[in-house]
Amino acid sequence: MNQVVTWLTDLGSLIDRLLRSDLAGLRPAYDNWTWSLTLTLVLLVATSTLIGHAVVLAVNRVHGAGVVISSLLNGLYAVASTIGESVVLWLIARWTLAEPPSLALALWLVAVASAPRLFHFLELVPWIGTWLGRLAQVWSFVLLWQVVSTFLGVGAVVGLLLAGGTWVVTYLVTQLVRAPTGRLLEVIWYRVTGRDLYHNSREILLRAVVSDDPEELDQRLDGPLVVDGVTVVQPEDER
Amino acid sequence: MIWGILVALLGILTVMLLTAPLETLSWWARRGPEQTRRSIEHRRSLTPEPGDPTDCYLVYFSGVGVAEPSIIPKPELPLLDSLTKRFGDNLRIVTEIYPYAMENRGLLKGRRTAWWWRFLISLKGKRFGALSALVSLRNVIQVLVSADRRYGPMFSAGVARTVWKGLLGAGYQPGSKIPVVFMGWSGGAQMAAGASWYLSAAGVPTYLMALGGVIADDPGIDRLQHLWQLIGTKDGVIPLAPIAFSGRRPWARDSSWQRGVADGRVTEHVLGPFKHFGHGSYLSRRRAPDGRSYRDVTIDTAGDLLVAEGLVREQDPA
Repeated sequence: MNQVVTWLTDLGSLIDRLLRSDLAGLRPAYDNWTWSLTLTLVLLVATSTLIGHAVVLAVNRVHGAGVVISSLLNGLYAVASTIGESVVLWLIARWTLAEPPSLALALWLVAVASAPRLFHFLELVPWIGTWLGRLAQVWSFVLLWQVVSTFLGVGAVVGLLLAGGTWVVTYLVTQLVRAPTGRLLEVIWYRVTGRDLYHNSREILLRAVVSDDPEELDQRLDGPLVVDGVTVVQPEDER
Repeated sequence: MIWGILVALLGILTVMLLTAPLETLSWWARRGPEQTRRSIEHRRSLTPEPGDPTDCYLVYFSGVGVAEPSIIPKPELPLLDSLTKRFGDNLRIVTEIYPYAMENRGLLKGRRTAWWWRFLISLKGKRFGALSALVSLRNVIQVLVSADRRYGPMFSAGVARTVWKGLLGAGYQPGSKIPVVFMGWSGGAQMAAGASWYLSAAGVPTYLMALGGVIADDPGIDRLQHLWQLIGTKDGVIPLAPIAFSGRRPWARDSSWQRGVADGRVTEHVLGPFKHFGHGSYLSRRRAPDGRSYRDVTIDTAGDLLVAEGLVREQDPA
């Protein structure tokens, strides 16, 4: 029991220092970092993100056991994307630094920098939620820059280049795999549920005015939502 | 002490904001698509029976202060009475629709939180009466849910279904193409704009008369035949809409709102120095320069616009 309390206290202290950017106070956490705390932080961020994006689950009518399965898959995705981003940071650091970090350290840096995304659940808030989510993303990037600069012993400029390079490459890779993984997800979803996958809520408006003919929907969903010759909804990133 | 109260209020606001979309999401996840598809197919499929003498149906949405579909605030009753008197059977008015929740469910019954809302309502006029404003705040947040591009389509589908049931109950013939005019106060206008997408998608010509309306750049505006925005020059709430919703700004050329303005389908009508609520508001008895009360100016203008659009005939005095 004491060990659990100590562990929870360490987790709380870690999160507190990260959100306050108390980099000096993070030194003990860095020197004695553990897989359990790091992984727990990643999974907490994943849970917060899932809550913030609950609309995607609701649009696709995921409830009950489906929420549990979605949570598990979301957790796996979070771990995988953290590892992927860590690998990118590690590779960039190996190419640019005389004393590159280990992959494990890169993983720790990326994981702890995700702490501001614990506030991703606020994306659920109507009207301003999307902006709150973007604010958390920006904060997370700033924290990545800070921890990379501090714990790799490089200056602010090099730290910014490392952090920025990691984000850009990760973004590009995500965009590359987005389409094929999206199609795969649609196929799996249809096989499991017998329903088409909604990507966003505007498809609800579209389906209310046209048939459920998949070809017709495909044509209309590639660009602005056009109904009766009138462009009514511009494509936008609703995440 | 003050800080404690502020923190508590901030906490309450945060909880209200986070839980606001949940009713909509839950409804859509459990039964929304089936109910929506059934009612749209119903609207499209039927052949109207002849003989409905009604020129036009008017669906009435109260402002954000209401808590139940069966309750119309007393100051608003003369508006409906006057329209009934002026147009008789030519205009059929549909009330008892609560646009701030799914499935026409008010706050005071049939909810786990009903006791809380009943308690707040009971405080009106008493020592902590200001807390009853939480009812209005809750409904304002639902207006934001309707205006949010992520939740709006689902929320509006639920409201449209409720409206459709109300219209059928009032004798509306599906397929008859009899126009339906939404009359919405304040935030109720946004709810009406959202619902109009689904009604017009099923062939119902829809119009919206917004009384001090706060409307986002809702896709439903593209499907309205006309939107009349009746405003008072001292209404401090209406100017918030272009600030809060980017699609309402003049440079948002591709927005539904600006398209409506460019097409001439969205028009503004200044009634006078009317405020949003309280003394000097749209339904107050304060006298306008021409001797009419502000209330009469609002009622007369609303009726005149319906007649001018050719939607309804005056009642035959005989």
